Amino acid sequence: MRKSKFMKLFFVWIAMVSLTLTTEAIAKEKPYKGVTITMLVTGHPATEAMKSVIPDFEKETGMRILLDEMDYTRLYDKAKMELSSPVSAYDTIMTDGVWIPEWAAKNLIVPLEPYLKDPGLGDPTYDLEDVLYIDANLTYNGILYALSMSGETNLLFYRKDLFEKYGKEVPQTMKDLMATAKFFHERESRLYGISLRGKRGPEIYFGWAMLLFPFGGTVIDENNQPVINSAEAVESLEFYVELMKYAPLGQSSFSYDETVGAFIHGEAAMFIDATNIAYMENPDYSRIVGKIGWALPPQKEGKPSKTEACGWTLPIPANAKNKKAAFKFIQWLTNKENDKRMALVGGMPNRESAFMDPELVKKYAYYPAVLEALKHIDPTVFPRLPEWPDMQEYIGLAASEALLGTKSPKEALDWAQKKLEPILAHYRK
Amino acid sequence: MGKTLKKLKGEYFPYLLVLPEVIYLLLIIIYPLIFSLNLTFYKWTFGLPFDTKKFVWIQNYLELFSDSLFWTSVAVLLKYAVVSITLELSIGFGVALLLNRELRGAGVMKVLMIVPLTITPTVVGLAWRLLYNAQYGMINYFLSLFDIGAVDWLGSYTLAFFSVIIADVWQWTPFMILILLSGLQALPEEPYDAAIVDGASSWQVLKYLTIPMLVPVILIAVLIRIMDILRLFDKIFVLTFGGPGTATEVLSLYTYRIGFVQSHMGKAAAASYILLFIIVGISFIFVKLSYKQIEM
Amino acid sequence: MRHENKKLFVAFYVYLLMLIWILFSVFPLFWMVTNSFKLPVQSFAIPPAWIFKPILTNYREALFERHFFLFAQNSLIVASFSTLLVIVISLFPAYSLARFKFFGKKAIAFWILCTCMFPLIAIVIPIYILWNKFGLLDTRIGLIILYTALNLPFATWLLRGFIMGVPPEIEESTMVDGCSRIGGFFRTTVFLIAPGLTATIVLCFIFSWNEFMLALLLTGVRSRTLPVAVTAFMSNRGIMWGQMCAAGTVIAAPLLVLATIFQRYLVRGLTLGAIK
Repeated sequence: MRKSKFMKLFFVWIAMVSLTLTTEAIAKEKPYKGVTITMLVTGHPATEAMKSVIPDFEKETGMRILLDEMDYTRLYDKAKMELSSPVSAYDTIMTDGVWIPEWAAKNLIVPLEPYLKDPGLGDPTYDLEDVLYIDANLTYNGILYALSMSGETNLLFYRKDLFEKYGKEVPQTMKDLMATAKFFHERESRLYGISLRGKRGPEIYFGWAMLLFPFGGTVIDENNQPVINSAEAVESLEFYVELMKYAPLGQSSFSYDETVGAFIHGEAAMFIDATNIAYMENPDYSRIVGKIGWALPPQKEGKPSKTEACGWTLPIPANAKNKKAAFKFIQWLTNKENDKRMALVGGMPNRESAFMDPELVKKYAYYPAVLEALKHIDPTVFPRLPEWPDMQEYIGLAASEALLGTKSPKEALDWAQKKLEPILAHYRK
Repeated sequence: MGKTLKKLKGEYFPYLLVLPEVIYLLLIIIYPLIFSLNLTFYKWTFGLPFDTKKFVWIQNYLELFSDSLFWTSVAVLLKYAVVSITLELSIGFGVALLLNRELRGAGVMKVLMIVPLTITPTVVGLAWRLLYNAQYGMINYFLSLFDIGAVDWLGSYTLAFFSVIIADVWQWTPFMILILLSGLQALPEEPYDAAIVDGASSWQVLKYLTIPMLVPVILIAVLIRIMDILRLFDKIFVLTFGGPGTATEVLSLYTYRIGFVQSHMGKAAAASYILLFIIVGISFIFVKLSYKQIEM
Repeated sequence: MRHENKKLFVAFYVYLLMLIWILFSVFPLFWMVTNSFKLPVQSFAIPPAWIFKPILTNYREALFERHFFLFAQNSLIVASFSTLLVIVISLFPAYSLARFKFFGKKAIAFWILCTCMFPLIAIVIPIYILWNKFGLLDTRIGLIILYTALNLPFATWLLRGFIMGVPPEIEESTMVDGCSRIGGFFRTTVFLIAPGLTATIVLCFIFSWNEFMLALLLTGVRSRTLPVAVTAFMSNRGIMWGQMCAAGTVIAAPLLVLATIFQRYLVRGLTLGAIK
């Protein structure tokens, strides 16, 4: 009697093991040949674009590229843990440009110029000058630490069809922006005025920063001291909180995917966020293909238009096993030819040459707009400091509390200022 | 020599049997705990080599105690524990009472009820996140059938807290049900027979007989749940990651954030130790209460 | 007559309430499973598509394109071996604490119980540092060692309870025949506690399978387990609900099977363990 119970258990276990083994055989994992590069990535249109061009690289070089796809929100923590180990499991990591200063300062990633200049490894036709996001994303203290995988700036996106239908002009000033958002909010069923990010942390900072800087506020001054509670900053946060009243339900937990999702599902009349336009125009995901208009983000009356630059980059960890092979890969991936190829399949180009390429421009009418936006970049939107991830948590929390109403914008920013001061104190001259 | 061997087989035998496990636990659990305690007196930035740590005595603790975020996370945690356990206890008790009758299909019901207990907490979190989605979630859909407007379950400050609690109560109430049920079924018959003879109402029976007799079982159930709830991490990680604002930021999440996102490892170690003390403290109180009950 | 009606009335309410509770218990899982067979556009249809044509795309994408089988294997190996180790190590102390009277017995038992009280986050940081030093990061052995330690107190406590439920006379009768104390145990009581032993095995397995925090922080692409893998679907393009539901279903399925087959033991294990 009891023996049969044990047998039952044993058989269940055997069944599970066999099931996984046989189904894995069906999945046909190929054996590794030659060198294997392991890469940490997160789900993103650029990742998908990359997946489509990788087979050519593998064929050409005999290398195998192993992709480890990770949850976007914890990519940072995971990557840092790997970087702190004696040997990293990853030879390159899909990195948000704002993390580069911290990792470079802690010597977790290696400078790339030596590889670029290495006669046996560097590609003479690489043309670094062509890459648009160098200062914004790829360098720290003037040293190149990463190559650009999918750079982004931001634009105002709007529903051409709705604006035409109601005879509305594209808002140029902040006042217009607020009025337009209010106008469209709930004008039709399931329509909201504007979609902006609101989730606590880096997300809400992104959503708010696009208003903070046009208002004339900044995070830090020339001495790297925090000025997050300046009058302009408080004003911009109040504006943001007010504007978010016209955003879809749930916006206070919106990260990028939900924010853009609301727009491409046709629920928002406007959307200010990263220029991930190929994704928005992809009929597999978007219900508003062909109805999207774009313009420079609005500015405060009398102040210049400001945009930010950020995006995904590819550094090489200092503790990676196959640094040279990894470099060969990322160099190949981001050269002129492949930048264009990835753009053709839905990635965003990183090079001026790609933005000017007639074939691409014909396909993607918004390229000139992106180039225009890039001319107005304010590099201080994401301070290139090693302390930035730490700072971002406090700023993100402050903005989130203001949005939720648990603190007033002024209280929230005063609190953030107090938190930031000790972190940046050591820069005080 | 032979004498020692004989002693080993005789007097010391019980200790010998226990030894391997004790050593294992000492190595894998106690040693890291002591290591962690040591770390709380240092400042170490995650990402830099370990020997860059700086000795700062109790500065980490001071910083924690003066950080309003820390106190918020403790408050959220305690609030969470109280509300969750109250709900689990009440619902669990109710369902246990129902099951205590002769019901047809009780076996099937029990199996279906256990289901939530076995599901991976992160999967539970993600399944509930799907349900809570403000635009497409099923919960808002059901509400709309009754003409109630869409609710922002995970985005509103007060609601997010309850949304997480509901997911946790959903998963763990069956545990309460099972324990309370077996407690109920182990109760003696005589007091009940006497009560019926005396003409007591079912309400009185419940209040004066059942509940007092179940107190030891209730205490143990609560003790086990408290130890678990205070360590809550997986579900919140996936549902809200502490947001919105600090609505669901429990202490373990705060510790994770301080250590792995903001890189202050010494401080994170200190925070985790404070959590440890809270858990041990509360558990101790309950254990003492239980022993008192058993002696009664 | 009225008494009969009242009884019916009460019975109706009882069944109704139970039904509500059971529906509540089952619905989230049901929803996740059905969603795994829908296309994203159907998942987000309002009103929801109750009747739909099931598709396997989500399963194909989730299982075949992301080393899912590697992760499933990892989960299986780690959970199995740690459970095995736990049983092997904990049988002896459980026996000792159940049968013998010795000085410090209460203290030792209590201490063992205490070691399962601490929050994982308290040891994550030192374990990370130590595992880093010993090269145990991103290894299955590393996880097995840890999970064993985490399950030992619980298993010991449970097994002790079960052993105490068997009268010692049974072992003593074998000793008359010349067996040692422990030999007697293995010849008799072990079989008598088979249900409890099964319950302990199943519970430890479930716990190891579901563990998240340590797996999150200590594994990389080689040794990652399923609970962490399922979070990879929260991408920059949005949560890939269809695939995540598919993955979630696959992760939950083995445990559901286990729970269904062994539900009687599970119930006993959970309750007995708690009460003792």
